[in-house]
Amino acid sequence: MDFFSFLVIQSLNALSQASILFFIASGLTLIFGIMRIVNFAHGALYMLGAYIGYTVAIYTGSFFLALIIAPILVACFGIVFEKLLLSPLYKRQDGGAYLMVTFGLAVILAEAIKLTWGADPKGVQIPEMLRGIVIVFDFPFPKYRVFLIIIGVLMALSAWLFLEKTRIGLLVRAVSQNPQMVNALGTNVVFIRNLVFAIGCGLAGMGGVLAAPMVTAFLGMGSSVIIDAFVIVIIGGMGSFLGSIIGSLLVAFVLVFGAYYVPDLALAIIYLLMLIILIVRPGGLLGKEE
Amino acid sequence: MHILECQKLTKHFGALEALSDVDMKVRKGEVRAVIGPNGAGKSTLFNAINGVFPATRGKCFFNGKDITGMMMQDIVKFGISRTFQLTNLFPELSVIENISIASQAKLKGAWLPLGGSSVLAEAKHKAELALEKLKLTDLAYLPSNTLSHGDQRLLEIAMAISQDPLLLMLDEPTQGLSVEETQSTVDILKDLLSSGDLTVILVEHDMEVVFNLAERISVLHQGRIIADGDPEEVKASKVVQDAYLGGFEDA
Amino acid sequence: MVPYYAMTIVIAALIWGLFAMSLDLLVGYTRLYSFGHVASYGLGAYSSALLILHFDIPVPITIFLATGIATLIAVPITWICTRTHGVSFAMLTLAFAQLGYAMLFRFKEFTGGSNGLPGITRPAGPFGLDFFQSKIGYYYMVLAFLIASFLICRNIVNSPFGKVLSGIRENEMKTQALGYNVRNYKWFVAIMSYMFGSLSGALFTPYAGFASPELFFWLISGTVLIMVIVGGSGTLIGPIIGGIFFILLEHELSEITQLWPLAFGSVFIMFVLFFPQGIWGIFTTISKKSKSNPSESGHAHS
Repeated sequence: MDFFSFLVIQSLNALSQASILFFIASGLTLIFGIMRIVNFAHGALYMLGAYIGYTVAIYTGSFFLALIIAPILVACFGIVFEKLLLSPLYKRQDGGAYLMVTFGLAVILAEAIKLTWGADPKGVQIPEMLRGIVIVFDFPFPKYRVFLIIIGVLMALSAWLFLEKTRIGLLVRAVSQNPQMVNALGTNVVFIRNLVFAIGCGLAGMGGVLAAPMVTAFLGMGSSVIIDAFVIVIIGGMGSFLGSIIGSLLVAFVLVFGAYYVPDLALAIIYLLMLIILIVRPGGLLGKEE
Repeated sequence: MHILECQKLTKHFGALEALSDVDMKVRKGEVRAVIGPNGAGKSTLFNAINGVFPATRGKCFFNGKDITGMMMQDIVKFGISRTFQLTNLFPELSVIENISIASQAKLKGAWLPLGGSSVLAEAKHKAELALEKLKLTDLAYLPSNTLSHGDQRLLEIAMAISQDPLLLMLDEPTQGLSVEETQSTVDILKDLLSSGDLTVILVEHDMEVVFNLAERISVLHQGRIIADGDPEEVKASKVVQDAYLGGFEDA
Repeated sequence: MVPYYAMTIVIAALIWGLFAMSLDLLVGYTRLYSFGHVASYGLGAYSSALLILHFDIPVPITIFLATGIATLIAVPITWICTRTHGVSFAMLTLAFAQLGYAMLFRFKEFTGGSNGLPGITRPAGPFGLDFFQSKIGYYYMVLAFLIASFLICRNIVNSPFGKVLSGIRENEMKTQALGYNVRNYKWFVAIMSYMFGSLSGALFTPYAGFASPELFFWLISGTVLIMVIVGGSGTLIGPIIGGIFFILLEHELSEITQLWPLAFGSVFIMFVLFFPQGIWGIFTTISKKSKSNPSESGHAHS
């Protein structure tokens, strides 16, 4: 394989990985932007999406139905969680409490998933129409990955349009800058918060369903992904939607090319990157204050 | 000798020039007030002197030593202690614990992880002395977040005093206080200053307090010193009167 | 005196009590929430395992050496982590723990990879110090280490250093403004925390007879955090009790129900929401109401 084709294929690989990372990171950063909470349970929600997707796919025989239903269910779950467990904390000054409660949820979810689905990984079949390969520069490339890239781009575009061009999107951005003002202007800030939280959870769930055919639904997928997601959000800036896109791309490319050139260090590179960013620019590349 | 000397102290925040070429010389034992309309740069001046952030240009000398750009915690060790405009305490700790932590910072062995009971005892002793000076002894064991606003301001001062500073910088000590509280704070400060060794710089809006306590006044306006002299001179200065829009006003 | 048949579980409970107490230094006294404390445990555990497999040293000395090695490794790690605070601190500690977990599989010639290191004995060493080879002997050793660690930690917490920690906990900015180099204090308390954490890990492998990658699994960081909160953060004793009771309860209840992890996760959230002072905190509040002096003894929250 000549260098140019290698570059293209690997870049496409990176793009498809960035796509999945984006689903998780964007939700995380949106939730932070609007609620100033870091949702430590986000990785577990991603995992939940994968497992629910598996079940829906098994029962209905349709991956695409799973892709629609699972995120909705995860979003609902997120709303319940937020109402029951997070809202009592709003009055408290203690930032640590949020960390703990969302961490506690991550633990509970992990255990609950193990109890419900068992400890073995669950494979999800790639749907018929997305199986097989396409030829890129004379080399094979999985169709499913192309699908991932497309859906990632579509989601990023829709989210951007939503935030920039719709009235609700405007309210979301306003609330993340100055909730009191928006409240004073008469908008129901609580509703906006719930909406964004639900969307964030739904995005994570969708990421899980999309990832499942490639990595299977397995216990522990939540904990490895939350760190990647956090690295992305730190790099791109906590609360910055655009930053989550940039961060996802950056991390995915580092992971893919790093795995090729320095396989032993690929893992460490990500942590190194996060460290450097945290040291040099504690607010991330584009972010608001933590 | 001047205990504090600032030369052409300048601070930019992006495009905003908050301090421009500020020169200030304070003699040992002096009580200096820094006044000026809102936004004049008074707190910025304080922050640049005691290391909250570095000045963009200019130098600062304390007892002849160049402290420009030094970090806050090192400057404390040289003998500068300050209070802040917004009350900043250890909320759930008791009043005396608050002060003890402050006084401990200046003691040898403040860092000892084992033993150190003599350090703790000395810190507590200094705290008790500060409590007496600020008339807070009755409140010693109450959690500091249960104190009234006025007492909390006094606690801030007590914490600074307990560090036996050579230079005490007070940032709006009477901020938010009622008339009675202001008066008692002034009385307490007068008592404190009567011994004469302590140099004090205070930022104040309340002109009565300023004229009650200050020996010299520096006036800041839009980041520049526009007047510097004893209270009578400053009161009479046209430049200063114009800056305050036609006369002195209480905050 | 502990009945012999219960000794195995009691030893485990004491080890976890120590592990939980070590985290309390960070979480309870300095309000630095670490999500990666399992790293200290795993480092200590694997250090003592490797020492025992490769050298013939009496067990107590191995424990000291293993703790020392693990603590040395912790020095740069904690230096990096304490550059940050809040969420970034939590994530960095988690990242290092995950890194450690990954390293176990990367260097499998050394660590046994997913099989771990079986066959860890309790050597008597060249001078035949065999008291600790028996279960009873080992129990006394663990108990001694726990008590000694508790006394040292209590001393630290009541020392001038400890006072500064409480300042950092309550208002880090003010503490810095008063003249303390807050960074160094955070770094040092983190090292202490890792030291006692790795001590508990080092005690584990000779007791269990093996080391495995589970000892580096992230859920353990969560479990120990839960013990600290539920036991009562900032009290040292609370987390010890939390750790001991967790192990004992788990032993009893996990045979009855599979829902045990779910249950205690939910209990944890309840405590965070409604009883942040933890079990020990509740206990002392109740007993304080019957006296009237404010207490100043090694308590982080009065």
